[in-house]
Amino acid sequence: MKRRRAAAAVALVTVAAAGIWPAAALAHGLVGRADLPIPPYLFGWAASIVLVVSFIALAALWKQPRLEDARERRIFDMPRMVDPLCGLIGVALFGIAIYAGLDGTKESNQNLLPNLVYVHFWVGFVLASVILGDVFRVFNPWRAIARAVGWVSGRLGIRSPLRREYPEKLGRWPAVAGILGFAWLELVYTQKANPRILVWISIGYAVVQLAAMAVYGVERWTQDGDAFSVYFNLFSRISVFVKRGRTVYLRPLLSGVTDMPLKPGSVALLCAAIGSTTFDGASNGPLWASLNPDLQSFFKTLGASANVKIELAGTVGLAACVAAVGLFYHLGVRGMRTVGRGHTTRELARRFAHTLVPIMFAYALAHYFSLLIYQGQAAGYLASNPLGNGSNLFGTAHWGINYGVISGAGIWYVQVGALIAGHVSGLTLAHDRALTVYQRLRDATRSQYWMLVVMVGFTSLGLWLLSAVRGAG
Amino acid sequence: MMTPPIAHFGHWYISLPVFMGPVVALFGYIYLQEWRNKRRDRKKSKKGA
Repeated sequence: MKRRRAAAAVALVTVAAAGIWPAAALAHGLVGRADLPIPPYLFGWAASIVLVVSFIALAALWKQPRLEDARERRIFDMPRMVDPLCGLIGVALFGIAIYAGLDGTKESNQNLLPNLVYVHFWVGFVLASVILGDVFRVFNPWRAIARAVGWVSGRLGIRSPLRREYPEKLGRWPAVAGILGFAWLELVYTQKANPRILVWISIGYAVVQLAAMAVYGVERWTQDGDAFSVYFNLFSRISVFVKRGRTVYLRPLLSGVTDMPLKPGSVALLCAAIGSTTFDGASNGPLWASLNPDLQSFFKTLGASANVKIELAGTVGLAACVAAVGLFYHLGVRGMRTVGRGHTTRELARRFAHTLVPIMFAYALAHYFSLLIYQGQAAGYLASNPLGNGSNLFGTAHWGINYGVISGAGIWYVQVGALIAGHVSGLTLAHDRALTVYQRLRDATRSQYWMLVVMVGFTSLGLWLLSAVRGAG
Repeated sequence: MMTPPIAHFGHWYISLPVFMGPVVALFGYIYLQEWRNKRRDRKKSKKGA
């Protein structure tokens, strides 16, 4: 009893303190910017109110599951040639990027490879997947190569001697390793933009994928093992479009997320994706600016060189962010378990994992939107001059980046909108699933109190990270 | 020896609780409600017994 009272008292004191501190925060010039009508923290508070109101509206108006087993409507059949043609385009782009990495300039902003990997591929496919469905699947170069090899070897009657069943226990853990590896490369590795190094990492990844496809089968490995296929497929589940075979179907928004396979590593994959984006935001803000030098000096005392100490500090930061996201989600699920009977934390964590998908998108869009809008324009000049050697293939080599395409305030509004929409979607999915997990509507609503705290927490954290970056910039 | 991370501590130490205020408020409110519900249920079951 005493502990409960103490917890409530701490909460009240913190809330009171939070009400007193805004002026102090603005005095530091961290979160206030002249081009916004109100301080950024008020956007966070307004977003929290939107989430609470959405939660109440869901409890009052959404009394039956609507997204689980939603109906799909057939739209049209794709011509037979679309898949091989898109695969060919994917292979061609991959080949050009590899060529640029091997033979182009070492200047990262003048070479096609780093831009293509970190902007158009990593961020562009996220947006394309949410809008159009699983487009990466058809453009995936290693899948296209493996399918072509499989088609030819099938004609010749050759079967891979290495063929094995995919171990079900492995689940999505290879994809988790791949996403964490890419996040480490993008956010921690000091040579990340060096085309000469990036090209060998790209080739190495493709070789591993092709080898794994030869062992476990193209579709089986694509489904669970290839990090990027799994990652982009999660985003595509938000989309209203889904392609099955050659037929394209229309489905209610978000309904595809409810079908997310519950395999080992599914929760870890989502936490890794959200945690890495969190670290991307945090590493540009004041929190990391204060911790990073001390971590680096600690690793220096252990004998780490200049680059290694930076990378070790970054690795600690990245791991901490992924762990924090996992812990936060776990706490929400633990709270949920207190409602109703017969549900374990492990079971609930898996059954509600899909609610993190729209949050993953919200974080990705909010954090990378400006990168995509500005650096995405580099495609114009890089298409004409992919090697950075002065060529002008399409007459666009003189194009630059127009930073006036959207204002700083405009970017902020998109970020806030993305975070709110993503978390309201997460709440909606959680409420819809709760209606199937719990027998009574009252229990379903009560179980989601804790998910509401998780969603408000992720929203506030996201906005704090973004506002800190704005303030720092 | 690792230096305590205090160089810019004041910046995030102030802005983070400001942003996280709604989370703490919500957590406190829900915790209190759940505690009241459980106490009421306990009282009901005692009366029933």
